[in-house]
Amino acid sequence: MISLSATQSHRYSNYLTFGRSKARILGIVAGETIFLGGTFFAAEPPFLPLPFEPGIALLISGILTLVLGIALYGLLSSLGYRTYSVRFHSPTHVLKCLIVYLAFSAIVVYLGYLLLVYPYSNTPIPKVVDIGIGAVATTLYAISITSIIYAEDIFSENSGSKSEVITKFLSEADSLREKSESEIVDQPKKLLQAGESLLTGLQTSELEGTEELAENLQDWLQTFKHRELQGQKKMVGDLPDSSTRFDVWEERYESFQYIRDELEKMDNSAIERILLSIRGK
Amino acid sequence: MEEYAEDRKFEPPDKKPHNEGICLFSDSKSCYGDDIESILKEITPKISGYEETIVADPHGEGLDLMLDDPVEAEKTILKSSLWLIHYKCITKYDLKDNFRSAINATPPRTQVCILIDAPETEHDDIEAELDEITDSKNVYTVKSKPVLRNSMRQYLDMSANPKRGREEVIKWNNNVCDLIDARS
Repeated sequence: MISLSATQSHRYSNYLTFGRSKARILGIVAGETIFLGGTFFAAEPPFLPLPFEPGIALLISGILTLVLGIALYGLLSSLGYRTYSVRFHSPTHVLKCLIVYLAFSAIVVYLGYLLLVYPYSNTPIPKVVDIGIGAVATTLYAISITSIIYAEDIFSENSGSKSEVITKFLSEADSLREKSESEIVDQPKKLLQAGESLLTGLQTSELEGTEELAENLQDWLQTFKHRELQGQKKMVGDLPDSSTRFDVWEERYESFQYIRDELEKMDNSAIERILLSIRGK
Repeated sequence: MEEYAEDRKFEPPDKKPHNEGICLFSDSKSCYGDDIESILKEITPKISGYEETIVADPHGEGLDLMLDDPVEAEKTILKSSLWLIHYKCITKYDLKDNFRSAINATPPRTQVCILIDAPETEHDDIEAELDEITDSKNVYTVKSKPVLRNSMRQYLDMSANPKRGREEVIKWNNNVCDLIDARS
């Protein structure tokens, strides 16, 4: 018997929830489904009379599905961008989310077909035209759910701008490294504030893969807080160009480089990364 | 300590080379079994303009000064721009905070080398113990005699040699004069 462990089921559900509250997402999906279902129940059959030949209808529905599919990918990419998980910024991972969303939506749409169309068609296997319409309905349904989650996320009280904090953290680190001691005013303090804000985001994230970065960032910030200015400069890369420097500072800088690389990955959405790689070719 | 004029040349015909202080902090007054003078004898022939623009002036009493009065010691040790500190001077005696404060007071071109001659297996523990005083960018670790020779030669030839950067040496010297004046 195949059974999913709690961790596995949590991981798979994250493809749909993006680490947000499961109860809230379930509420959004249920509300959306009841609303759309209700509109069909109120309508008189046939629900969607088509003024086209089946071939043209199939072509139009194919094009529409493709356009809506791209829009859905864009929305999922934006949802992933708002998370603190590097994985959800990866084009491949967002594609997996898209597949999960479409599969889930297809099941709901097929159930709708069985409930609303089957009594008239008398066949559980939809016709080719119905499949085309079903594909459009599937992507539209997935888009409607994703849009509500996205809108809800934007208007929620806790949605600080992750991108701004990352930019602040990295730019304060650059400034601390490049400027001479006499030019440094409050860069270490600002760097700490941005770092602590990122740490809170990482620690409160429900997504897997954030623990390692959170742990590294926490250790690094803890050390940074208690060092002299020159030590703080070394921690962000202002190391002497010599083979006789202390290993411990090398390690601290390597830890910063890991944090910086992960944050930079997190500073681009999946779509932006695809566009950047296309431009790079 | 003499303040340098901004147009001081160091080279002949002035025949006033820069007197480069090297301060050793060590129980045994030696580095890896050799006294500092013999190490200097090995490296000075490789230093460009040695005895013309630069002369090394080693002192071995750094630890005695620190043990005697760490605050007063700064007036003397700051005059040296190359400090060679055997790690036990920091870990064995209760001088960690004093060394930290003295090193933090050094101007940018002063170089502090902490000499470690313990077995390699102990290096990580020693570095961890020294961690509190290694914030300064001027602090380096030296773990063998060849590395020490190379570091000293490079420092005397490149960083402290007026032949490679006259203005920097004048700036360092006058900076130290100000620091010592402030402590008098």
